[in-house]
Amino acid sequence: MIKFSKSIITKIFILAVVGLVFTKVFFLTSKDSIPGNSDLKTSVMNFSHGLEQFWLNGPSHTLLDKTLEKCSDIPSALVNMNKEVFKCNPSLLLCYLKNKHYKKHWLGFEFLFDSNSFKIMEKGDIQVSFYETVSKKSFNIELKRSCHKINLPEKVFSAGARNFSNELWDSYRQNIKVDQFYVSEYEYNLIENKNIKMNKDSSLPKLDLSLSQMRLFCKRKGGQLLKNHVFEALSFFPSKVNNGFMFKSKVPWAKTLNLQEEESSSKYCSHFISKECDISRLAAYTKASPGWLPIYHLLGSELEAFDNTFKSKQNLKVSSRYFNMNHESQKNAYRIYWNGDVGENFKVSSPKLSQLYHENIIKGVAFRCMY
Amino acid sequence: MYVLKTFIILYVLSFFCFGVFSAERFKEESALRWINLDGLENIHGLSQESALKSPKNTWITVLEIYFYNEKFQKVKDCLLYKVPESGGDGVLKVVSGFKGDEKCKKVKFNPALFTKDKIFNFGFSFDNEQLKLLIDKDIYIYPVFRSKTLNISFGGGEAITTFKNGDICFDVKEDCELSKKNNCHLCPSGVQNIVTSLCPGVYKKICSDQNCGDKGEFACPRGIKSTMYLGELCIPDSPVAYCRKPHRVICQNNELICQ
Repeated sequence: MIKFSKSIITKIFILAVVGLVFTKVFFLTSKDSIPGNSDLKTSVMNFSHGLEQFWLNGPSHTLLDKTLEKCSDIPSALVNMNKEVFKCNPSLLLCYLKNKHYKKHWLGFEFLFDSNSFKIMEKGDIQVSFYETVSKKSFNIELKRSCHKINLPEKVFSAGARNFSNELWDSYRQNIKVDQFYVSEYEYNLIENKNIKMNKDSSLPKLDLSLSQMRLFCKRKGGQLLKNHVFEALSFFPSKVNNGFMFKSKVPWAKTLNLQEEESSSKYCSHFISKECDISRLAAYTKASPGWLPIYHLLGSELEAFDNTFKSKQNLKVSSRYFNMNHESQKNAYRIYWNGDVGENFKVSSPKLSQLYHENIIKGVAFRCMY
Repeated sequence: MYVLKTFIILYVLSFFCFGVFSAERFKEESALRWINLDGLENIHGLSQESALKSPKNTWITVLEIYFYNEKFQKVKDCLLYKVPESGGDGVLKVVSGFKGDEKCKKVKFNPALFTKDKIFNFGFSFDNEQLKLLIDKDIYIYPVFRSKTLNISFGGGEAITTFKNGDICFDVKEDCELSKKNNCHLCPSGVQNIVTSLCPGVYKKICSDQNCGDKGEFACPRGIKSTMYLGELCIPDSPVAYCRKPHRVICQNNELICQ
């Protein structure tokens, strides 16, 4: 009897302890195996991240063709142009998603998109809604239009055209961001009218706004009209500021080069757009006249308007495709005054330029925003 | 005797197993909970990759950890550490934080979600890619999924904090300690940098669609580095800011404006 009891008691102990250990193990690991929740979370994150990459970088060549097959509302003329227009582009994203099913094979989730379940938000951001068929849950992905903006590095800069200047400033801790390209027709229609339709003019710069309309649009976009001294900071090839002296380059892409010194103008048309290039329609997203940072149209291209907080009467960049490359205006920091009006009341401090505008040779003034 | 021996062996074995699992628990719980880290805040600016040595026997908030929960709401945890008084009695604990509690002050003594004790040395480091917790000889790594482009919500998720024009979206105190962390990307229109005399070289930021430099507006920042000015900032014609001519810089309530 005693022997029997010992054996039973031992077995009970063993079972109790082993049971306790297994219970502990189960409790510690059980959360990993909750079906759905964390797997769904990971799957949605991965899916969203993939969509974000498409949104930010635009489609690859192969994907673009496939996507555009479904997009009758994207004009074929745009397809062969610079692909920048397709970055952070709600029209293209919606075409991509149209009737498309996504499956995460390794986790077995399926995301469905209904072509009407999207919303254009403030600042041109988009919110798209999906339904996941396994968990039967809906979720929203909001994608912000963060493309085509660059950060101005923290440096000391000198405002104005002259090498010696008292107007020094620095960008430390200001977190300044600038549009890489002009505001385009597409962007304007998207943010101002929530119109996502593209047409053949979508990639052209918005040229017909008055100065106050430009300012208003930049506010809607979450920023302000680009300030002249920030544009100059991006235009002058970087050079140290020493006791108010800074060597200021004539062109944005080199330290010493003068445009006039070059023999062949055609050589320049690939990246500097002057009258010689004879371009009738210039896309906002053309990568012309780059600076030391990937920001474009710093010289040539279109007339461009700024707010000038140092010298308010110098708010228009004259360097443009309407003048020959040896024209006096085709250099950094050459500015004149624009009264900010369009149409009949358009007035600038250069009679020649005024004449070109009223003869409808100059189509208008481009602009971009800063944040 | 036989029973007693068996009991003792199994009891010790059981405790050994529990010890191993307890040590693993923090790792497992945290890995599961922070599977989608969205951001981290080193709220006291503690130095990274070096063991925290002081203040001893006191709870300090090490990090605010932002992540997506199961409902896809952006939430935060507070990671607290009690620095050991003598070797080996350091404790790391994770407490669920809430929005209004900017520095995880109000949750310090709330019950922990999970803890890890018997720590000799603890340090941490993080960048845009990952968070590393350095616990004695172990390194726990959590990938960061951070995006300023993307926002996900699961069926009416938590409303994102928004600001209106005039709201302060970043600020510091007189001793340059952060008083409002930077959330200026949530402003409805632009952001304005305001030169204050509280912390030289650091701008107070408000949501604003106003320009700078004209009468009644804030003065435009010129900067400390460009002027190399080290004197009093709150003075008329302060060199660290400028106004459009003929307006002049004046200082009102520690802020530089144009008159």
